Amino acid sequence: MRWLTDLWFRALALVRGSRLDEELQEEIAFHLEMETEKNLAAGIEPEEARRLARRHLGGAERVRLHTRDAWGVRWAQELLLDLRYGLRSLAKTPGVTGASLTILAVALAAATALFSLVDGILLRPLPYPAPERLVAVWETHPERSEKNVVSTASFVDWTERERVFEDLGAYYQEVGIGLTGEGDPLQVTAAMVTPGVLTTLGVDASLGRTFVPEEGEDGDADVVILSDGFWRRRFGADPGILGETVRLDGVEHRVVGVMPPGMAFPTPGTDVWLPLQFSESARNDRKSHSLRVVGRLETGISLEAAEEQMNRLEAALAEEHPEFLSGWGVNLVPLHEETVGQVRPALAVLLGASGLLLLLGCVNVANLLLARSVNRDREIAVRQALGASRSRLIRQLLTESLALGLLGGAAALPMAVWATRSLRALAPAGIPRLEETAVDTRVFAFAFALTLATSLLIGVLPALRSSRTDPADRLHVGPPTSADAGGTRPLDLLVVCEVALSLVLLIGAGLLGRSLWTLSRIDPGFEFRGVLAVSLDLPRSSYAGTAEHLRFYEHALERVRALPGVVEASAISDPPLIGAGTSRSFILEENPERQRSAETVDYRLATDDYFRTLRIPLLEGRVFGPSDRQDSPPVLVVNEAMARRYWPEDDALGRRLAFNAEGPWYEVVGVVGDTRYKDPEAPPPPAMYAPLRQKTWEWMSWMTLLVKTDGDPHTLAEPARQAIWEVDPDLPILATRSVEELAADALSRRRFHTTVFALFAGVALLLGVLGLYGVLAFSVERRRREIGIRMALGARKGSVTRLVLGRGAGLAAAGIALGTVVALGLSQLLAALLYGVRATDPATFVTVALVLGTVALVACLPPLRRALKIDPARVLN
Amino acid sequence: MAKTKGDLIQGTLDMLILKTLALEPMHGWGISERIQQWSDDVLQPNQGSLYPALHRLTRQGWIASDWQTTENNRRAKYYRLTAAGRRQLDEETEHWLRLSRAVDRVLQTV
Repeated sequence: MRWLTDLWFRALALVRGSRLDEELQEEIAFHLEMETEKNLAAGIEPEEARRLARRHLGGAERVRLHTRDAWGVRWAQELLLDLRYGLRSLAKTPGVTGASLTILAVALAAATALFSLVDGILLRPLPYPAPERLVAVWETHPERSEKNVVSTASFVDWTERERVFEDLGAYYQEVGIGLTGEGDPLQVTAAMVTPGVLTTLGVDASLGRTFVPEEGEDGDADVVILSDGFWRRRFGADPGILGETVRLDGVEHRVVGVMPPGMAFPTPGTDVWLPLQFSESARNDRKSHSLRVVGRLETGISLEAAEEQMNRLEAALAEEHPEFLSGWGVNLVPLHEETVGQVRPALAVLLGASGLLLLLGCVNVANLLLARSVNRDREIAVRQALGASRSRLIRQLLTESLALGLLGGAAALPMAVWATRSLRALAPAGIPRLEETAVDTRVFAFAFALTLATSLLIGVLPALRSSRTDPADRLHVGPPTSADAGGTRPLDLLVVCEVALSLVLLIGAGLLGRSLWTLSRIDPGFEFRGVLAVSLDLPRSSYAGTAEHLRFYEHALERVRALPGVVEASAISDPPLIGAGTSRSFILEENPERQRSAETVDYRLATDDYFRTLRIPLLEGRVFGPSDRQDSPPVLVVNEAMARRYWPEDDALGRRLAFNAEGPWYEVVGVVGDTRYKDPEAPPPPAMYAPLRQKTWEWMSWMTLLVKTDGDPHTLAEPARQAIWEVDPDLPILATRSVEELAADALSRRRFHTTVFALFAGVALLLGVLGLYGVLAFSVERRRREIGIRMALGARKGSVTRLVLGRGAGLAAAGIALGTVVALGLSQLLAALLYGVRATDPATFVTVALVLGTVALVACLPPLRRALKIDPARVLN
Repeated sequence: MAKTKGDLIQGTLDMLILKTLALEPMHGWGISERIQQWSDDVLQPNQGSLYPALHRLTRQGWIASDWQTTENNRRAKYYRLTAAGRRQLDEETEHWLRLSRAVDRVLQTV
């Protein structure tokens, strides 16, 4: 408890120091009296008695000071004093103080916001128990993807034979289904999951229950679990929802549970979970791969060992079913990696950029503080001459820097919160885990500590320097002369660093910007202006088969075509830029050996007008026409990429292919231009189009209507919806968007990271230029006298201009040179994000250097003007 | 002031103050006088360091103080030993005795 007494005493001494001091004085006075009396009693003269007493005590004032030291609060008292003085002195130079604060706050906020984002998305573990044991399970084939979706039969075999998973579940990537009942038919995002998915993740329902095993086998399939968000939005968080039914795709589903908030599997947008059951035929389907699989590894088994065992199991299965499984393997990917791996490169780059910005902020503050301190040499010399010790001076300057740092941090915190929110708002949809991000206090603390350390380090420099010289020397000097220019060398160095850092960030932004520009100008292979896309999916409950599908689309297109302003309307199963796409394997008539279960090509259903609506050029043969009917010979139109891949030497027209060995055979009747598909950055994939009227796969129930107009396609959205509801009032409409928007969306992620990077680069440019300006202005200020003398001695304006500009240009050039070297090294890290431009693209490097150089010269102009205005008569008197 | 008598190293002064106060509460001047008397004028605490020592000991919680009236009807600050201070005194006394015996032995060795 002694430390408590100590603390209490010190606190008391701090708060009631003046009273303690009075008591001490009284105590000393009493002592002197007693001593004097003792001396008097010994027969000493009163005068001498008092003198002796004082001598004996050793000076009342000294005793008082030493005793006050014993209170252990001197440092705190001085700290308060320094703080008050520091704040006053900061307030005396509002320009420098304001600039330092702004820079500190901006750099801190940017770094914190970005790191918070990265932390939330990339670093923090997934929100499930023991998330490190969760893996995504893929099948692999050398000729297909490393991460291929899994066939139903494989999944069933795995669940029966594997020994490495505690739990294993399969699901379909989200599908849109219609919710009908009250109000407009609504599209909800449903995930079809086996009960194993939820037990694998280890997530329990917050209300009710999750699926029981029977619901994944042959039990009641018409049950549903709601997401927390959907439950609140649609049902007002009614706890009585359990046992009620909701109408999904025309079928009543009983609500059995509500998931806790934050449950974001497979995607954050999932509204409902439905049990996934496999029919008998699906359980034996080894051919079509469509399932996604997630598993929880047994405790203690490593990813590599599990993968090896699964591959051994797959090999054993391949021996039983060589025609389907030879060559297939299994690939395990940690679920965390699976979820965020795609966004990692971009985020890592942004993180690096924010780190550079933070560094730049520190350098800039260092710069400003240093410039400020040079002007305080005299003040420090005076203090020293008056007896301030070196350590006392250092402490005082540190306190001042501390105050600056603390103020900067205080300003940065709200900015960081705001910046994190803005980043989240700016981010495109579909970035995984975005909703999990929040301002991270640890990150803020780190960035704060870094800037604080910088300002402290820089703040103490003048005190260190001053102690090297005799204060008398510096007290003698008059106004600063050119001899003092040497004192700005650290400043020069910092400015060079600043310019270099700005250059690095600007080059990064330049390279990313060029990539974005190149991509946005890529010819997608079709004309998207003036086209509205209306996505539909016919529920199986009211549309039993192909005949019903055809009838509906025919009627719907008819109504839409009749709308005023509509030039033409057509339909396609998977329009460019949206949708996962559908692909099929096939046999070539002239080369049946080439059929491999592994090779598939995009397959789309289209109406006759599709190619015209999107202005996709016909290169050879013909497109579909009214003559291609259900009962006429089946035909296909292929794109150029497919023609080149399968018939590189010959004409594709007249070739035939089939989807089964038994036929029927489809004849290629036309070749059309390539279109970029979902990923505008990838080369257009091979694709084939079949006429909607010859549709065979009954379950392909979805189509997107493309409505072309001369004007703004958005004005057609509502009329088009009404037209469709005239045909079927219960049909949910998945989305109505202009194809132009879809094209923009496809680049949204890239636009996001390019924008953020560009913002950083912009701030960096500003900081770098401010730094340069500051140093030049400061140097002109210090050299007024020298410049004045030069002018008095006949120097012309030209030589003064050379003096100032030469220095500015020299600093900028050194910074640009240094930055170029650094950028050459660092830009390789950007390579993964670049498109159509090399990381060392000379044009970008030169342009950015020119821009930076020009801006740097502009920054030199105000100081130059001031230098030219110097009146020798005034500075020399 | 001859080095042979009077100068006290800090820890020793603390111990002597505690010892003095173990008898009865006392003011600063009285403590100084008493140490001098008890040591037959061999030890003369430097009064410049007496008050810092008293305040430091107070801060450490070994002694406490209050204002009282002396027999001559004067206001003076009286220090007294706390329980923690008494334990500290015992500890320091024992430590001191051990040390001085050891020094004695060394000095008596030929």
